[in-house]
Amino acid sequence: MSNSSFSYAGNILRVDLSSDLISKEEFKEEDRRKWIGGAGLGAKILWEEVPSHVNWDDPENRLIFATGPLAGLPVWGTGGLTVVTRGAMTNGSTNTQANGFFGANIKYCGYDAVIFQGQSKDWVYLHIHEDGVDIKSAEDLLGKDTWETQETLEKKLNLNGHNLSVYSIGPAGENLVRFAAIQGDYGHVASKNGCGAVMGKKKIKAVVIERGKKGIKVAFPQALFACSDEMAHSLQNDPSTKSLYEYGTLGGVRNMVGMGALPIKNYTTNVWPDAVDTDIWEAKGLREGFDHRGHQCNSCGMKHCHMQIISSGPYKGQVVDEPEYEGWSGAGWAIGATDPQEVTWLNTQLDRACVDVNEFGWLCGWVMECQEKGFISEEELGFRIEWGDVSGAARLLEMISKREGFGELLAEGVKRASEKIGGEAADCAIYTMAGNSPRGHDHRSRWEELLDTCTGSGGTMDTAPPVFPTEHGLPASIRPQDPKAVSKQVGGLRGRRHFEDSLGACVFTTRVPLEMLCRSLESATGWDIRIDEAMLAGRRTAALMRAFNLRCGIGPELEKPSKRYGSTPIDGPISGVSIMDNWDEMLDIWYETVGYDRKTGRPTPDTLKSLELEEIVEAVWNFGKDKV
Amino acid sequence: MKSNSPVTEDRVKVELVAWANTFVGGDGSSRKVFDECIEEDATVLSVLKGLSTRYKALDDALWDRGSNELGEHIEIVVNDALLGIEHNLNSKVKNGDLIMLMGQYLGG
Repeated sequence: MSNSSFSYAGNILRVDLSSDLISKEEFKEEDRRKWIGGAGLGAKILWEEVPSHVNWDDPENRLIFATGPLAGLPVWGTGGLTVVTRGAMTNGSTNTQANGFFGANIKYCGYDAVIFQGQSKDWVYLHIHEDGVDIKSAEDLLGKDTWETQETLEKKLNLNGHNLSVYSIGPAGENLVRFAAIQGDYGHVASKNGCGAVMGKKKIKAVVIERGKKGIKVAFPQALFACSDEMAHSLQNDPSTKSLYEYGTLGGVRNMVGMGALPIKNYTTNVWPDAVDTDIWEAKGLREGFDHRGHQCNSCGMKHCHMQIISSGPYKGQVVDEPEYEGWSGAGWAIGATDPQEVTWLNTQLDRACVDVNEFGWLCGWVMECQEKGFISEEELGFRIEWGDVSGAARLLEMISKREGFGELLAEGVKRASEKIGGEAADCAIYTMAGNSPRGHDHRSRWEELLDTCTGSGGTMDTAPPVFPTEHGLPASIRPQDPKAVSKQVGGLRGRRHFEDSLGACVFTTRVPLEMLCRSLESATGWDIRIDEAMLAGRRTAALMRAFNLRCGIGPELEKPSKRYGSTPIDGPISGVSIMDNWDEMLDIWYETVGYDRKTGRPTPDTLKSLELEEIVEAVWNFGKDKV
Repeated sequence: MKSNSPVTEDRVKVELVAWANTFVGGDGSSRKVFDECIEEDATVLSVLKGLSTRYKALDDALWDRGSNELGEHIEIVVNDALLGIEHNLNSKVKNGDLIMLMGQYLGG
């Protein structure tokens, strides 16, 4: 049973900011099954509409907000937003997700995606509602942070909670900070590859979506409810997700430090200080250290997202969002901050200014280390900042967001800033040569994620961590420092995450067996989709994003870590073990596994044909010959 | 895992940290430590099998479908080094060794 109306709104909204022209296009049925939605749909649009000469800051760049077929349905965590664009950090493709209510609200208004093109003369926000779409002046919102922006728009429209989804940029986005993010619904962030800078360049302050009342038909409603219950049961009971169900990602800190994967003080150590109370850094300790309330996304039963009140210290009484693991690491451990009360405050300031918490952690930690070692003077920076100085970090954030003083250089991100300073300072910075921001771990202990980050095409990791690898014929567990096994795993799982990112669902609630996800999609759409087709769709999206990057000049020569990012840990659980001794071999295996050409980085013609991408073979293999 | 090796006076500590202790009846915080008597030829594998046979939830989480291969849910550290650096599952253990189990990392 298949019907074009099942599980999709069926329409794509196109907004030309240069001409103020708003139009509606059909999301064609044949494209839906091939690209699914979200990341897949975005990759297709990016490939077709953004040629190589259109850089991230060109008005003709596209900024795509897309959701997918599960969004708005009674499946946990289905408010999903995927942002795809040519991003500011790599000047290549971007694939970054957030949740909240975006995906549900926009489908209830009759759309699966919004494509922004052109550039507005004045600052605007887009207001999507059931009866139409309006471009409105945002002059009164300028300078406001993302939470203030949302509060102002809620008052203006007299709507709040799940009835209004607001995704906006703060001062960092307005000032084109290269790692600016897009933040929405109080605490959800599409953070990677400077998508907020693209939004700022187009002069879009916010995208505001009322919760429409248009229904979404599904093929097999009873089957969908049964699948949803089964997924919920799996999330609540499977050993791998029980902790996630109870505490979100709060368990990450304690687990990471045990594995040597907590990024402490800019990768200078893998052992946390003796003085730290380890109990307060466990999931239960972090949750119970605050007065908190659930802040769930659309249709979600996870005990994951929370708002909380700071209970002690200089920020006592302030309402903040409970950080994800990466908030605790980027706003905390990476910069040597060890008081959860202060870290949670800084994490929210980063969301409000709208910068990527990972990149901020690498940048701020780098500045702190450089000052400690005398590579950046107090005079250059304008003040003294030491490890763990949260108020100093907030001052740095302010300078970056407004591009004031030394903040002008730091606003370019740690790769460009460290390359500019040069010398020994350059050796301390954590980044990939392509400009991808590593996630908030010490990847020297997580080789799969380091390899994935360096070979990724979307601005950070493409694939890891593994989810039910045995479904794909891979071992349940591998030795994390086995170069062959790691490379086969990362290559073998490539595509699963791209498929998940196309569904309009949360990356955490899709941590169930893939066959379960496929049955949900089948119930929703009527397609007889199985694991093989799901992986094919995901690999297709991954290959197209890679082809886009190659067309932009981002090639395999950039697939390596910076000196510090690929350095050898000097203490902790993997002391003295170096990934770089195995790097070339790992790339060889990864390339062979994914079916890309080792020398040029291009997906081979056979691979492209197997992915049903015959139409781009000629273009991909004629880069540099003025064919595209 | 049955063995005919003689039991010694030697002991190995097995520590389940934070969430991993829920598999042995803990509340998901702090840690639970087991002081395990070991046999003469005890290995990391035999010690963990000895413990997991007493706790079904741990057995389900630790091993790949009841085999002697690790599942995907728990990471292991032996004497402060990740399994695979200085030890593997078949490495012999000695009196005073510490095996630590922690939940696998779950995301963003």
